[in-house]
Amino acid sequence: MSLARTVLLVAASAALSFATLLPIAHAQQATSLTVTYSNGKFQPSALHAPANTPLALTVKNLDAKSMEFESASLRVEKVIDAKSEGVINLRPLKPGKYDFYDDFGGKADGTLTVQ
Amino acid sequence: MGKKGTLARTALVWGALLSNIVALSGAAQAEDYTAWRDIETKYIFGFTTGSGIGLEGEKEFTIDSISRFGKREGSYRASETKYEFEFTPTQFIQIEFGALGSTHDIRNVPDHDNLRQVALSGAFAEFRYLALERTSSNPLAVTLAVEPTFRRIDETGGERIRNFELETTINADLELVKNRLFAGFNFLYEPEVTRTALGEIEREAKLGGSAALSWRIAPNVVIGGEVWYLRHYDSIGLHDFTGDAVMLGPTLYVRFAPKMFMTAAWNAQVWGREIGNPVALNLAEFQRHRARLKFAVEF
Repeated sequence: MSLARTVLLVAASAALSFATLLPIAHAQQATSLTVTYSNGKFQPSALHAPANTPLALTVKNLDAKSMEFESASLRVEKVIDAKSEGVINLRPLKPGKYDFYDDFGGKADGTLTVQ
Repeated sequence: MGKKGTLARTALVWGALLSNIVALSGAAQAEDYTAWRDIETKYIFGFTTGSGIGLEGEKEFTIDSISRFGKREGSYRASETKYEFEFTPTQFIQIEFGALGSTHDIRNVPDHDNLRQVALSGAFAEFRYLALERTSSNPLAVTLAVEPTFRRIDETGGERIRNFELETTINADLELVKNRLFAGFNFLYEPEVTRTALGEIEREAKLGGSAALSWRIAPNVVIGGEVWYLRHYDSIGLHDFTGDAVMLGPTLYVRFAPKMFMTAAWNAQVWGREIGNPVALNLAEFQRHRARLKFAVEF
């Protein structure tokens, strides 16, 4: 087998591997949730959502400085500018507790309980 | 005095490190570690890669350097550094790519030319897919990764070549104690094809696995140890087995700031064999020691 054919084979395997890894988009209706960030705290700090349903989480930052909504277990981070809001789309989640916090040095944190 | 002095210095350094770790651990015991924020597990196991794929929207620049020391004769030092950009476009996929730099300092090593060089040696990309996610009721997470790499400089000997490698790995980790104790496991298959300076085509593959244990002694510090078993073949199809080795060593992860961390690891070959050559260790395909140092900045 020539080097060119081998390289082609390796490249094709890599492309195929990646293509098969792409998640299939789901058209399920998202459940909306809203959390407000004000005076360095999340309000409410305890959110609840149904399991196995896509979620659209709106984060409203009422403070005069930007914050970063972050969660390792939700696997998202998003900077929300001062006096603005942002929407974070979450995958359908399995039942459990998912912590979130402000990663711009704030002490604010909260929990999303999925059941 | 030479070897005894070195041993004494090494013991002193490890003693000091151990007492610092015990002190840090004691302080950490006083804290409620269940309240610690979740940790990204990708880099807490040294050479073993955890299942983490970052956070959707996160970008990271990384300098990741792996050095290799020691062959059977002569003096051998080589390193390969990844200058890497990584990002996470979805909650299941991470993509990385970048350039490779290499250094070689080889003197009087059989089968290698004497060489001192620094070079831009190639490029790579990596695609990672989180196949099984950790939840509060499932402590196991598994990620599948493929990493195609092109090199124009031989990783081991430093000669001009054309090398294509496809590293495929399964990265799994298990949260044994919430926020505190983690076990990591890797399975590796790494086929490669090389066109040498003389125009010859060489095919080889590496197969192996690792197990690692990491203990979070403070919110921003993780220490641990890992063991690797690696096999080398002179074919892609794993037919011509040429030797194997076991590497063992400590690991360290430190997060300096919310967006900045480093990881360090050192492995020594503790057992190895070369097929057809009855000597201790396998220093033909593997090195006596390897070290990893990685700095990353997220933005």
